[in-house]
Amino acid sequence: MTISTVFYIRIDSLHHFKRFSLSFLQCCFWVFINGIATAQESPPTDKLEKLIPYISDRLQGDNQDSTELYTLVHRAVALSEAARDNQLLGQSYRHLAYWHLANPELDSSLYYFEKARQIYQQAKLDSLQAETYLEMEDAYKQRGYYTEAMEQDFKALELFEKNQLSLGIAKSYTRLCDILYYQEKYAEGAEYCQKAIDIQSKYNVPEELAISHRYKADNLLILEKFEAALEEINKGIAVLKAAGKSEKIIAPNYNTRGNIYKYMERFDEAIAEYQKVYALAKVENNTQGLISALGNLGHVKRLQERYEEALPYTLEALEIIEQSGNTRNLFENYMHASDSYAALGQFEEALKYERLFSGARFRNLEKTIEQLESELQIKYETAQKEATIEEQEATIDRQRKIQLLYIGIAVLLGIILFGMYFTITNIRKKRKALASLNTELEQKKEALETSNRKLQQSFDELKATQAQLIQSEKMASLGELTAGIAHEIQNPLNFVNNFSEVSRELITEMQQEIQKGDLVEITAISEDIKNNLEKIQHHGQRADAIVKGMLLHSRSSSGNKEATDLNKLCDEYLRLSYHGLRAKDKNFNATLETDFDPNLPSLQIIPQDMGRVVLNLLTNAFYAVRERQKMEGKNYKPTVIVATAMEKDGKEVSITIKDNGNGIPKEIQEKIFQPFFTTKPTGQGTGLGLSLSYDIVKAHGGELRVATELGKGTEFVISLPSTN
Amino acid sequence: MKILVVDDEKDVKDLFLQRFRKEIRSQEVTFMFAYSGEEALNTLDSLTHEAVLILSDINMPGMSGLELLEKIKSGPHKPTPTVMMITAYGDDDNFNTAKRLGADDFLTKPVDFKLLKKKLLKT
Repeated sequence: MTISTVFYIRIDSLHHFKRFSLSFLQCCFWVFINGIATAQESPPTDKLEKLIPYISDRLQGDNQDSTELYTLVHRAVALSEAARDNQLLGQSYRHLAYWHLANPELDSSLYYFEKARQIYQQAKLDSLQAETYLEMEDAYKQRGYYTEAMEQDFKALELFEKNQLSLGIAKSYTRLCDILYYQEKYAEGAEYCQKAIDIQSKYNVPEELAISHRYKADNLLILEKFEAALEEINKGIAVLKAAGKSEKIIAPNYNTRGNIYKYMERFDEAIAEYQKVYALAKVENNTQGLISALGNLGHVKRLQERYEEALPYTLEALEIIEQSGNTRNLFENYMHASDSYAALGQFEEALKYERLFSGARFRNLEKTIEQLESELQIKYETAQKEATIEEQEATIDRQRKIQLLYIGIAVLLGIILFGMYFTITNIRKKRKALASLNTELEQKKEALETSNRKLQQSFDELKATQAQLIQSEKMASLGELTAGIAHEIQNPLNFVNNFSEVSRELITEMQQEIQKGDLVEITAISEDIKNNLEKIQHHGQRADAIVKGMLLHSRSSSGNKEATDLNKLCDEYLRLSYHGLRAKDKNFNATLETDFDPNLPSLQIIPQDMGRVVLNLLTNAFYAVRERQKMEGKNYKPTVIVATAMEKDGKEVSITIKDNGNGIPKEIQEKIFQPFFTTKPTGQGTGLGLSLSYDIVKAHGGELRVATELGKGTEFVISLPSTN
Repeated sequence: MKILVVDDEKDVKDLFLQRFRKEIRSQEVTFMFAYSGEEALNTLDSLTHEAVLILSDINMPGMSGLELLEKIKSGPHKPTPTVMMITAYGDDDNFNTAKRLGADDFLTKPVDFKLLKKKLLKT
């Protein structure tokens, strides 16, 4: 996009350059053709004050276009710039503009007027600036740019009004009147002229006032207000005559009055006016004046159908036009000539001028087309420029958008960076906080670890102590058992010994009977021996079971669950505990009652553990009844009952150990399952019996409950699930 | 001579019957057996005016041998039966208590039947 834009600008510059070069060549050519008509004085090139009026005078003349004058004006510009005199600089630029004004195809005059105007504007020379606007208006008007011309008028008017310069205001009105004429707004134009007249009438500005009148008359003429137009032009002429102005200055007014008469069909009066104009132009050698006067005279004579009189005027006009090259009125005069010849019956001539008319008309049309084309080109170029501008604007817009985007991105990045910075700062802070927290945590952790270690140590010590205590509890219960075991082992051993001894005697007897041949006696003796041997075996096994039980009990509790007959287990430990107690206290005796449920299923339990529980509970029961016996003596009958039963439709099995001791006081009921709690004198109990029992029952998924009444006894119930 | 043996061990009966099978056969002695103190007293009640020698164990569930001894010696049975107590080896406490309660003689486990026969024949 940027590249194409640059490319376009280059082409555009080139285009400008080409146009300028072409115009310059045309200019030179024009100068060459015309030659230098005015006699040369040596120009005052040193003094600016003299140079500028000299240029002004030269430019007032007919031949404005000379390279020498052009060089002088440029010199004036340079000198003015050097002198830093804005007023003179502006004047010099205007001179440059005037120099170019003769060729309306060039933009140069407008360019230099604009330069002059800017200088005046900067120097705040409002009056001069306004004058320049009016000059610009003239330049535009010559080019047919009426809208632009009108704008310049209004700008001038604004400046004049700002500075309350009445004549300037009036001048602006006059110009507006003229412009409106060209724009075919005749009524409005007339109004502006009247406003100008109203102002100018108060001042001694006859020429300007006369122009206003004339312009008004022109407008009124087109509006076919002939009388009013005539009145207006007469006023103008009167003003100029009263001011003693020369006929030369009045001449344009005569021409206008002629036109008015012509349209009023007052042809003789019209001819009189045109002839005045012709005479004056002849004296002044004013080509345009001559052409205009001769043309109009021909026209009027033709309108009077005086074709023979008309023809010489028309032909002269054509001659001058052809000589001067000023073709403005050419084709209308061709037309007049053709018509006149035709009316006179000279058809050959009529045809010739008809053809010339057609040709001129064609050229004129061509010129118009050319102008239109150039106008179109200009419009096209303008459009292109506008398109380019639009494109550039679009590009700029895009670039702005992109810029905005970049800015947005930059802002966003900034925000992000800011956010990141904050986040990082925050993170750092948090890290610091975290670090300190970590340190704190580390310290706490260490402290915790230390206390943990201490706790672990204490725990280990406690465990060791507990193990020791458990061991001593075991030993205690073992000690309680030892006496019972001794007794229990004594009995089977007694039978083993005696039955084997008897059996030996019986065999001796049998041998004697064999010698006697008493078969009946031999049979009887052998039967006895057989029975005895059975008894020996039975009691040997009994002793064996006791020893095994003792070993099991003393072994640490790493036993596995096995199917166990609870009735047998209870009976075994009942005996062990009773005899153990009896071994200690010979005087103690108690009634033992058992109520075993014969249908009890075998349970999966750790027998030595459950045995220990039963033993503990029995030991306590015996202790309780023994204590009460000591208190109450012979009237008291100590009784310990062991019962097994099915509970809750066979879902549970219960072992009940009941005594008729003193019962447990309420205040210690809650403490009995606590470790190391004991009511026994120091050294007699470890205080772990019930606690361990409780844990063992729990470990079997069961419950250990107690029911007690003071003076009546205590009942412990072990409830075990029948399926586990 | 009628001898009542009191012991909770039921095999004691067989043992005595075999040990004294000659004496029983020759009708020198007659044996009766009771498995608890209470049973022994009931048996004794049924043997009015008969001389009875009682052999009793001490360690028995329920009524102990010592209780039985006391009851027999202070009981109504006439003539007052001779009571021999069987004690465990080295159990001085029970020996002394039994002696104080009027026990006539003592045997220690395991029972020496030769010694027992001698003692019985003396009486």
